[in-house]
Amino acid sequence: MAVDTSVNIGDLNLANPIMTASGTFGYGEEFTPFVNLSSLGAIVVKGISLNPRPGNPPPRVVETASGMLNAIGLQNVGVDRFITEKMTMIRTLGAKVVVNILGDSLDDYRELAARLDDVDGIAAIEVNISCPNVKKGGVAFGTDPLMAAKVADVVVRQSSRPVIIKLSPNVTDITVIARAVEEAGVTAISLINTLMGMAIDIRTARPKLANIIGGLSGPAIKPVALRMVYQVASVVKIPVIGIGGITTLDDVIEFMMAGATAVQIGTANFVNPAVSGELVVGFKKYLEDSGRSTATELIGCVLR
Amino acid sequence: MALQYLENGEILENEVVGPDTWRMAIRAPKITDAAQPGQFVMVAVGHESSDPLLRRPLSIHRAENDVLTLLYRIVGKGTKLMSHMKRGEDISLLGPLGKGFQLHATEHHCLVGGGLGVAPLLFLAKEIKRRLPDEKMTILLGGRNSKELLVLADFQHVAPVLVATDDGSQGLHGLITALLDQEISGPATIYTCGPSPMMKGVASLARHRNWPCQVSLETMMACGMGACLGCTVQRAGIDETEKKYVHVCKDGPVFEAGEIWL
Repeated sequence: MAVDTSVNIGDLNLANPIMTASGTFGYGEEFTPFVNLSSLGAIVVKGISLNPRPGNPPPRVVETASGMLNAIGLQNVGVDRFITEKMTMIRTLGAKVVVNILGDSLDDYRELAARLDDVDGIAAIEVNISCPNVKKGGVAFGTDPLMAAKVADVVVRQSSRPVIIKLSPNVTDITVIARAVEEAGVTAISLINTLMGMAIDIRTARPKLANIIGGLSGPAIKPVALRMVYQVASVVKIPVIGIGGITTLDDVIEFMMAGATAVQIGTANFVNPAVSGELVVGFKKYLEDSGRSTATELIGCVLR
Repeated sequence: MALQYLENGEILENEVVGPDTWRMAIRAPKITDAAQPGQFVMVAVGHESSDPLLRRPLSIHRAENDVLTLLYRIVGKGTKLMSHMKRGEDISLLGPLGKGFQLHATEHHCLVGGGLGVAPLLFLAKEIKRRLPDEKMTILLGGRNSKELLVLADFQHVAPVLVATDDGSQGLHGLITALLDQEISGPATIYTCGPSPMMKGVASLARHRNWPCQVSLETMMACGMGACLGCTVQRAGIDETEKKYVHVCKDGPVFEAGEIWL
């Protein structure tokens, strides 16, 4: 029986719900020996800021139980080099490309969205709002519903393409933030970004990360992510993209049943660089074997 | 881009060769064939479990006749699990990764290894002998004591070996930098791998003697292929720009000593 694996993020049609998460897939190029990038739903490239960022001092990563902490510090080449160098390469990969953006101020987000809107070969914009708002004393945009909505609003106004807002889980009630950005007119919500965490080396009595605090990712955070996807999908009408420790096909199905229209594979790419392509194949087989004819049937099973 | 493979290898041998130090030989024809000295592989140590989650970066110790050999020390849960793996089992490898040693004609190749840092140097020594058979080569090995002079006999089959130990139980009683300073004169090219203070000392001596010096680094890393950006070291003489850091997995693990802050 022929099955339809495709899903829609607003007007954006994905061949299947498998995407790769920003910051875990470089600009795609590194993974070409292991994955046919055009077989994926989409790839989300490493977050881009207005100006180049060197990132944090090392150590930047540390392994924890079933997960890892990172404090990369948003290292990236900046939007100019991204457009002139990286996009030229990315267009040759045959993948559907979502560009992740991040800023220190509303003006940063506005300018980034405007600059990228003129660039060919971009399917959608994903907005990282987990970064500190420099003008507001460094409080992350994503922890305040009003600020989150303002960022969403400026990007939506500058962008002719679908806009996805990526939510931070480091908040008291994520549904409040989700509703605020939905109201601002975004196409979809992706969640979760990493959970703030820490590890200490007891031999040196020093934090294991130079930045002291980092973002926890990997299978350890999956139940938290699944719960938040479920909560957000329960209160918004726009598509939700699930992220957080997704490694296996069962994880993909769980997130879709909790209400995700698509999923992003993150830390699992580090462990097995071929995993995203394997999940695309596995997902199609799952639909065939389970007697479902469309991927969309799965979305939000447990919400109904 | 250089060829990289995700290859399931068959373990042919996994045995103790020193204090907490093991050697694993794996039949992995594709990676072995593509490997260059100084490159590394990411080794899946957790079977199908998520803890430990990440692969372990290990430098390539030998690569010949379809067999890749790794020398590793038990430092945590991952390497402990690796030491429990048995002959005949499969192990997943990703590689070969990174930029290895650059081989140029020179008057005297000096390989300087400390502790487990000898791991990539055996592959290098064999390649120098194979590709530049007429050139002089000396291998200097150091360790805390004679037991920590790992796989000494394997090196002695390739080229003359000089040793130093911290406790004087074999060779020079003292640091390997002292041995290098005493024994090597005239033009030379240095290739070094070992604990960071040792490499710092070797690089500093090389600078004073005007010897080109390549250092092989080890850092924490998640992916090994340039995606996680976790394995940074700072460049020498570069300020706050996006070029401030280099990545051990892709720009290295072998660097010119003057290129980075050791």
